[in-house]
Amino acid sequence: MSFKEEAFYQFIMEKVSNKIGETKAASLDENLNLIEHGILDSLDFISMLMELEMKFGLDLDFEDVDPITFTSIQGLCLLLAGEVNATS
Amino acid sequence: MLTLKNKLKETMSNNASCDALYVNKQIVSYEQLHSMSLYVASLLPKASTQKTDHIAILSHREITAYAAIVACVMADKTYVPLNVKAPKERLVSMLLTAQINTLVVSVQYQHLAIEIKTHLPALELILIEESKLFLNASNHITPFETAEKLSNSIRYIMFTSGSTGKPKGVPISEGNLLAYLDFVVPYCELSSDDRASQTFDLTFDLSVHDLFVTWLSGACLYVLPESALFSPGAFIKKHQLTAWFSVPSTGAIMQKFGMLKAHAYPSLKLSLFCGEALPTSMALAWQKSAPNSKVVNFYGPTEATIACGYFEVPNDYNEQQVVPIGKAFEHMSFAMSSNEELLIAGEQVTSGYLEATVKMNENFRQELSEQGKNVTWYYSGDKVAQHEDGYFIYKGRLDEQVKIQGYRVELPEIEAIAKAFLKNNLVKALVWPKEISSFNKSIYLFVQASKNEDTEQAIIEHMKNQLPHYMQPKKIVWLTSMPLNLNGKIDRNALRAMLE
Repeated sequence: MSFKEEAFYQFIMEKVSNKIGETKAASLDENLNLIEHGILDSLDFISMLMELEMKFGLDLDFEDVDPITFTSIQGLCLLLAGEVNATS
Repeated sequence: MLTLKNKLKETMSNNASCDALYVNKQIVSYEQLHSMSLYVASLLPKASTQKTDHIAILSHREITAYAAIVACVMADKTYVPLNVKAPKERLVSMLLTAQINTLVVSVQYQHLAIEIKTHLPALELILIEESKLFLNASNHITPFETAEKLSNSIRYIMFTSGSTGKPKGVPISEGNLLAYLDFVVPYCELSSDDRASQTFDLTFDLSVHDLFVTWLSGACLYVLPESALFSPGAFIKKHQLTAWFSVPSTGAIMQKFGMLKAHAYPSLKLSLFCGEALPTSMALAWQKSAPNSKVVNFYGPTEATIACGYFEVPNDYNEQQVVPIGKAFEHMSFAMSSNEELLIAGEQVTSGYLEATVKMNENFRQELSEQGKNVTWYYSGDKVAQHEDGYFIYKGRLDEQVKIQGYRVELPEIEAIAKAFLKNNLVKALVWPKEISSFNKSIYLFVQASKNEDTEQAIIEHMKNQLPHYMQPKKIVWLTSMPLNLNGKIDRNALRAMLE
């Protein structure tokens, strides 16, 4: 993982931990759909996306993205990494 | 006059081989939906007494939920949707308020239902399973006949936030709902060629529009999966939806994340928004993104059945920052009180809340019309202005109700729960950001007390057990002293300034 990807991962894990506690968060399957499994609700997810945009200076675009691909920890990390690579 | 049941039966048989429902990648035809509903109806209590007429449904975005609702219509029962995401204690309180003895539950939520039953031992559980529904959809089930319902019998009960600290039950009669459908079904002009969105949770009354407007038109209902709700662009394109209905927040999120590009959704021909203020900038972006679609702002409280006012947004509309409420449906009436409150009257207004207190009844007031008839006006709590062309413009609330992504939240309800738990009356809840059109509003709770980690954890846990997710405070702010204004009341502006 690059430095940036690691930072995304840390950020997302922190949000998930705030919601379900650190122990539970650490044992979570990284491919689990966070919304469908009630870990984060859509309000949490959106505010997390907005904070990610602010913190990392991103401008996310989901025009043709199927949300199923980025609602897991790993999926979101990949999407963010792709965003960074596309713009840098 | 035809009942909802007869109208549904008619479209289900006229469109038997057409698609009625798409959910979880599965398609259900009208014929299948009809058979599934008759199967579920056959499991419901046969007797018709007050005790057996109200049926609660515990399921979420799966076929079982839709089959159970149609079953209630077919069996002349009142349906009461329960949200699987709501805290157990809140569900128990709703079951008690609505006097429910029967809970239809999807196997997936069996655990939750059993937990609820420990609080309500007399509750009868009826488990339904998707695979069994499909199996029975191919069997011929003889419909059982029940006495036809009168127009004042209750079709569904929805719960909204109540300022006393307890959710309010709003019963909507068959007559209320038919008045809505008789106007809105022709207005939407859907047919068996159409594919309509279903974004709302079934516990939100706007979902009632989705189900019955779509099905009485012979169109197909496309249920968005939970994770597509905040990023629905790809879903609209993939399924070439022709009709859209959501809260404006969904559109604002789409605008924020690059999903409202020009000509993105040419398949849409009707786009409705309801549930909260519609920002003009978003409505205009939507028009460009869905160039073949009418964009319409619907307005109405749950008490007046789904919606009762509308405003079609003209191209390049630029008069107001928020799209007007508009004018009342033709069979409904709007009026403005001396303190600029919007009053609503007509066939869609409920007869009153369940377990209503004197204070709750004050929302409904009888007046003699010019023709000497008794008219009940519902006091909406919405502050409005009237445009010279006759339509109404939303100006804000007269009380402390706020909208979080379209969900109605009475801030005093949150305060009442916090006050009782903390045994402290110096508690104030507010939303931030304050702007009407903001889609990422959160609740902040201010408490005058010294911060204590254990107390903070305990109150957060208590709120989780009492309130749905959108009502839970994002943060608790502990204050050494609560700022007061000149009248000695808690100064909300000063509290808001602390968040900036």
